[in-house]
Amino acid sequence: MIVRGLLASARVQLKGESRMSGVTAGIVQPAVFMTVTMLAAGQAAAGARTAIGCGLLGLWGAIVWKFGLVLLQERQRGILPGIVSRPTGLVVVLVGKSLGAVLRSTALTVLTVGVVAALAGRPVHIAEPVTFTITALATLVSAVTLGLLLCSVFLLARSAVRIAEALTYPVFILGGLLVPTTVLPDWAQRLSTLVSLRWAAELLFDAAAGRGQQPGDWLLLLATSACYAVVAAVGLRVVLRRIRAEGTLELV
Amino acid sequence: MVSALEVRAVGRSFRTRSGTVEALREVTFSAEGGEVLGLLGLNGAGKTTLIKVISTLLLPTSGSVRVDGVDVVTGTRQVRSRLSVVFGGEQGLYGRLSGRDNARFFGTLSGLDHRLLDRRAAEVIAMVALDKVADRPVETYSRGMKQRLHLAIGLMAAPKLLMLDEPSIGLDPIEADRLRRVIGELAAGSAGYRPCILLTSHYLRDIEDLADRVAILQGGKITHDLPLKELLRRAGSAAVVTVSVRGDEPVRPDGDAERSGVRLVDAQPAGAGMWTARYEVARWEPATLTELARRWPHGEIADVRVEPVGLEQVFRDLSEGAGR
Repeated sequence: MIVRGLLASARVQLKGESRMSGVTAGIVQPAVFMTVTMLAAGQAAAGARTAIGCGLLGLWGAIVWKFGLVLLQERQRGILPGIVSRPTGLVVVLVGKSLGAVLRSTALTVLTVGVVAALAGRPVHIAEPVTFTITALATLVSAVTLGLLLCSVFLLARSAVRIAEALTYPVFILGGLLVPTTVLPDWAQRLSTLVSLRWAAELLFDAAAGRGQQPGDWLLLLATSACYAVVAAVGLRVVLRRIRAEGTLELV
Repeated sequence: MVSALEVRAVGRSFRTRSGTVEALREVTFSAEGGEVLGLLGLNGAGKTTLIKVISTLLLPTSGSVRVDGVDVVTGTRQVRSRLSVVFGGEQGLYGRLSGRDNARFFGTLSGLDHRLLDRRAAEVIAMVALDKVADRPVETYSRGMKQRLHLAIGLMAAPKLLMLDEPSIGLDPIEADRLRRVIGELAAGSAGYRPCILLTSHYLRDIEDLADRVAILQGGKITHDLPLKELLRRAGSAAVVTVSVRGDEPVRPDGDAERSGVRLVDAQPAGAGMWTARYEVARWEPATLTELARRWPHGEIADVRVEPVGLEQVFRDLSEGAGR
């Protein structure tokens, strides 16, 4: 029931979404980041590294916005009672719909960074494509667990959009997606170890460059993602129970 | 035998800044499969809170609710697979998707086997007469069509308990009639089985046409729970008769109203030697006309209008009685 619920929700999201909905996060934002980085760094900007950084920026932006906005849209459409009162449950639908939206946005991002890099004369070269693909999938799963964690916050708070705005750039910085984490102050570097995308970025850079990946980076990626998943599962259970007990979610 | 719905001493309170509000107090009733139970109440009586508690959207503060024998608190998921709730209004659907896609999606969420989805969607869409527009985006549907689609979606998983919360709200009379007809057919077994239907509505005609039994909720408590016919009988009169008479003032018999079953409500001069009088009659039969003629020994009855007393009158009387 869970898998069918996830697939059906993703399909409904993709069918029901406006054709323009992925344009900002999937095309405009990565294209701008790619262009600015290459203009600022000149020939020093390595194609793959810039593309991966911009791709991860696009992925994180999509996670934060889609997980928040899907909930908001369902609430505005008055669909939440119809979802919550069915056995599949709200979490499966939110994850499925958000995942559908994120996958679409991610596909657009990958396409955009590839095209911009090629147009700039610095095509993206991936030295270890198999390792890179496996790492990219692990990154996607990790990002989704972080999205799930945010879901419980979005369920409790009416201001999901404001929260999404506030979370976007700190993770860009702490994940080492805008600037290397080595230039951050000590306290920020310590904080960045909790951000799974930082370890995902390191692993992707290594796979693209053909350097051997560090087992420690994998360990930290898996450990942080597992923590997100556990906290998200407990958090969502508590939040959904609280919503039923207090009647705090505007369902009808 | 297990009841389709069993509500026992349910209470639900909300904390607000000004204190605790008790939305439901010791609510107790039950309903069986094949029965249509109308739930009546003024705004704020607790109808929607009760629907939310039964449909697992809210936890009860006290008491218990069982759907087909399963408790809504301890067996939430099983309860959700046994019931459907249809909220009135235009919201709650995906506008860009077709009616069929909406039905398939919510059917999947109800746990329907994917091999049955298409067939079941076609069946329920035909049941509510939307088959010709099933593949059109829902945003092009009229309000009445959306409401019928809500009903079709509610039927996808053949629920044992179907809750209809204000199903005809905002519909024009023709669409409201059409929806009532569909619900009536459903109650009669058009879906291949007879679900228990819990119906709340501000339009008392919905209840009057469809319900077998009526429960009245006032101030969070059930004050009446009776078969519809019994409730109407308790109104004490079968009809209100308005008589136009040419002639003198009516005779006002003292003390014989109860015996004759005809009670004068009021009598007003209507000009040009005419009078208009209203009577409540316990039974409308030929002897009633004779009795009315006896009340006007010096007048000539020019016109008689008979309005059967309906649920609306009964509900108004009961509500006003409670308010006094």
